[in-house]
Amino acid sequence: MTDDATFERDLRAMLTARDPGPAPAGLAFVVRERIRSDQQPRRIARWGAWIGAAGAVAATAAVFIVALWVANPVGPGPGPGASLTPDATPPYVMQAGDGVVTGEHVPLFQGLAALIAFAALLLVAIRTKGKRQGIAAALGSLVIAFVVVTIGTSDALVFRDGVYGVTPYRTVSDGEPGLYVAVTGDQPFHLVLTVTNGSRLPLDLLGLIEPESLRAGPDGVSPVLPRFVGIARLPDWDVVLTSAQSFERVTIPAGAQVTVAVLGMAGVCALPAAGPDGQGGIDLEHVGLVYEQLTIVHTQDFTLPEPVKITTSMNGCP
Amino acid sequence: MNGRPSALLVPIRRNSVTNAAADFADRVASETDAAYRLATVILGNAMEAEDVVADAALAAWRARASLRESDRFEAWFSRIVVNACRDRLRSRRRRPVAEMPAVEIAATSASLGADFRDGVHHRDALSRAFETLEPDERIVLTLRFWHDLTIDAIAERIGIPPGTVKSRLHHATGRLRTALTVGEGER
Repeated sequence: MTDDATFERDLRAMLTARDPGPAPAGLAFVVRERIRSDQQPRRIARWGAWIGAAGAVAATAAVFIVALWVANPVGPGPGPGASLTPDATPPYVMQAGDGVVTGEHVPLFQGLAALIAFAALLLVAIRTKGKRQGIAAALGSLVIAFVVVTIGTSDALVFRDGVYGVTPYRTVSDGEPGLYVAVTGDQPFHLVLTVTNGSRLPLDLLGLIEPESLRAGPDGVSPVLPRFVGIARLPDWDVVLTSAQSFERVTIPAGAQVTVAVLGMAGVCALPAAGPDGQGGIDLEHVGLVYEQLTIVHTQDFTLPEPVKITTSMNGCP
Repeated sequence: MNGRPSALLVPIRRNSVTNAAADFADRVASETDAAYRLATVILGNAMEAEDVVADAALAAWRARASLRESDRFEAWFSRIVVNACRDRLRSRRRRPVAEMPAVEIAATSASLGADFRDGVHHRDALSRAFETLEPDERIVLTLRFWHDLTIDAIAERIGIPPGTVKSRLHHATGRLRTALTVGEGER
């Protein structure tokens, strides 16, 4: 075994023996050339990397938007019950199914496309050597992730002001706030409502969510419960039903309003007023609306400013 | 000056980039000798060391923005060279190189004494044992026993805590001693 001092001496001697002395004469020249030749390509490469990253992001976004546009389950037209003509022949009488948007509105394809775009941008963020390109791609992926998380869930439609009423109505209330419908049995009633786009982006109101009773068909769900079955357009702030027009897809700019008439069916248990033995009641607090924003179809349970109250018998339906 | 306004600014600005590169290249070139020697001692191969120095020069040029204090250029560039050596050693492990035959000293040579032969054998065994060390162990041994840097200076140079430097030195010398002991037993 070698002692420490000898070992260190031998180690130093071994390392010194590996020392080649001064560098070859040409090495300094090679170093200078390497640095000099790197300048121009480096600048081009930097711009190229930027352009490449921007191109990748733009291409991903384009694919994403085109995919959404192609796969849009609703399409640009109105629902099956709506007329394609701008004005129906007066007098227009709203029917069940008018303005109803059929089909499922779960944005599966949109979510899938967004996930693909998210993965692509995340890959760019991880693989790119440029720090700024990486940050840009990471931010892009975060934006898409936000879209994926919030897809189809925003509530852009609100009631701020305008008209809100129901017909035929009952003037005598039961002490609770609401619009009291005065019909007997499963008869139609109309709700007039001004809808405001409360978001910061324009949207297209597509129509009414297809109610269960229509989806089940004539032999399906028994029309026991009150429900909304059709929608029509009204001139702004108009409450006269004879002015109604068949519903078509309508663009509502941010902060703007449209007035609609919603056709309801009161259900077989409805009564025009409370009976001598007391009364029950069913409240309709939401109207299901479908709108499209940034090519994504949303369904929203639009909250009514006051519930629509259907009076029913306590002793069962007739 | 008032009669020759901004027309002069464009060529001056354009040349400043070229001049900066030339200045930087001059500075790197002034460190070429030291970098080449350090890389050769670590790698044990002069041709590879040339490549490493050229690569390190390019890496330094591209990372020049990370040089905070210009008077510490030598240490900064040396660190880049050490990192390049580490990368080279690691890639070498993935691509095994042919092993050189051991040095044989003719036992019958009358002109060479037994001490000399033992010394050469010993240094050869040490060099072979050095080649078996991990890249980081080679680097700390070289910086400590060839470059004569202190523990703290090594720590600062390669960006690790002094305790880690001590630990690596301890392990590296231990492995060298073990290799030598085994080598002597085989002879």
